[in-house]
Amino acid sequence: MKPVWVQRAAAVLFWLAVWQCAAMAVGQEVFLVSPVAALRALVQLLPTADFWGRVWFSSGRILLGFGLGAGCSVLLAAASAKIRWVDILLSPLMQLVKATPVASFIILALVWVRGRSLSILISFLMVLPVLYGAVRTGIQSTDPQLLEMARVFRLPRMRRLRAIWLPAVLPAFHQGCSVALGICWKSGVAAEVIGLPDGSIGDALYRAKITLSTGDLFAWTFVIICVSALFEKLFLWILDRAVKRVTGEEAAR
Amino acid sequence: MSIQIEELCKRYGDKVLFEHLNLRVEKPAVLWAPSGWGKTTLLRILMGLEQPDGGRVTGVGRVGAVFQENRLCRALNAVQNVALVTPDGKGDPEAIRRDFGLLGMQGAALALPTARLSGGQKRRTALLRALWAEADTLLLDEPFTGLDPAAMQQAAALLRQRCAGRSALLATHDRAAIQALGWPVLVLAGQNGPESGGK
Repeated sequence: MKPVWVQRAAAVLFWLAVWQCAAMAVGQEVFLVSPVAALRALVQLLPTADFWGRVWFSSGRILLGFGLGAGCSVLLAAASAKIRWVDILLSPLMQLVKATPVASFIILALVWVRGRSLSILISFLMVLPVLYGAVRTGIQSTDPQLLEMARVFRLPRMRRLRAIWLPAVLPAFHQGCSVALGICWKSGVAAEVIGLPDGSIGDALYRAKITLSTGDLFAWTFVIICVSALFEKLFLWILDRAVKRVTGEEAAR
Repeated sequence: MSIQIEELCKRYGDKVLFEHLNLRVEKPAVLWAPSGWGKTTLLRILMGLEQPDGGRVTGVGRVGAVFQENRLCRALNAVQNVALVTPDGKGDPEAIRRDFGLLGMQGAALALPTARLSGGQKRRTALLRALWAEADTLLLDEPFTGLDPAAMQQAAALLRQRCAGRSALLATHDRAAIQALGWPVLVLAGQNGPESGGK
């Protein structure tokens, strides 16, 4: 049996080959660019200041939206776990946000905010119900017997948080973040494609589409996937370290 | 500090657990009662986790407890679980390790998350946690469950040593444990309180 990374690399190579064959069969780069041409477009993009400026612009805003969404969801989930009427009040709102198509939010949000801030608001809105639900689930999974123990021993609030609440909530939060980070990148870039803020990745995608630069379109898509995966890995790594530090636990999984 | 139980009543629906129970615990004692009498419920009332239907309890103060279940923080190791209930939350890890040694638990087991300990090791951790708590009263619900005879003897010896001078109520069915402890036994066979002071 080959190591897992060899199997994965083989799978990637297989699909790249399928893509190459399909591109050769279609024979028109406007419709389907070959992986080689997409790679060529990416190599041309990489050394330009415009490329890094766009990556910085979009990453900053999308991650700001994620951070705000994560912060708010933790606070709201904690409040709704503690206060019943907050839970009753927030429940339909979160359902609504979760069920509303992202395109509706983007178009509606364009009326409220400038295109430059659109991706912040959209990532925030997409992240909020996901992490709210995850944190809520984590809080609900807290062992009531441990909470009784903490009450009997009169453990201070911070110690309860560290020893009981965080170990219960963080695995769910970790999982929620993994999902939410992917969602916020997809929705944030979609917002940029519609809002067209200057200097964003979404704007570059749109330009690639109207100029029929399919190579650039694929290159930018590849960049979005990579940046999204990179931030997800980095964030979850930081979260794992924080969990270990705070709870003494080996990993929040 | 002595625990004073006056006219205590507790019922679940139609089932009366105890009625007009009067009890005074000034020094460590064993609470003995038939299964289903309500020992755990009585201890839970003393811990403040349940409300009685009548009567009152005074003189409990701060509690160190061994529950029917171990109730340990799974991610923390045995020493961290004990340290958690100390006034500063850190305790004295060396002294805690020495105490674990007295209970026949040492070495690598102390560094493992408690989720990975055996039943007996978890029980000893729960017991030591109660002893390390800043407590006026110890309430111990079957603390020797899962311990082999040797470990039980060690635990009883440590309890005898550490419970001197404060009130403690230990619920058990284990006659060997009662003998090892040598504490007075409060026999709660009826619904109105102790039937005799010794057993």
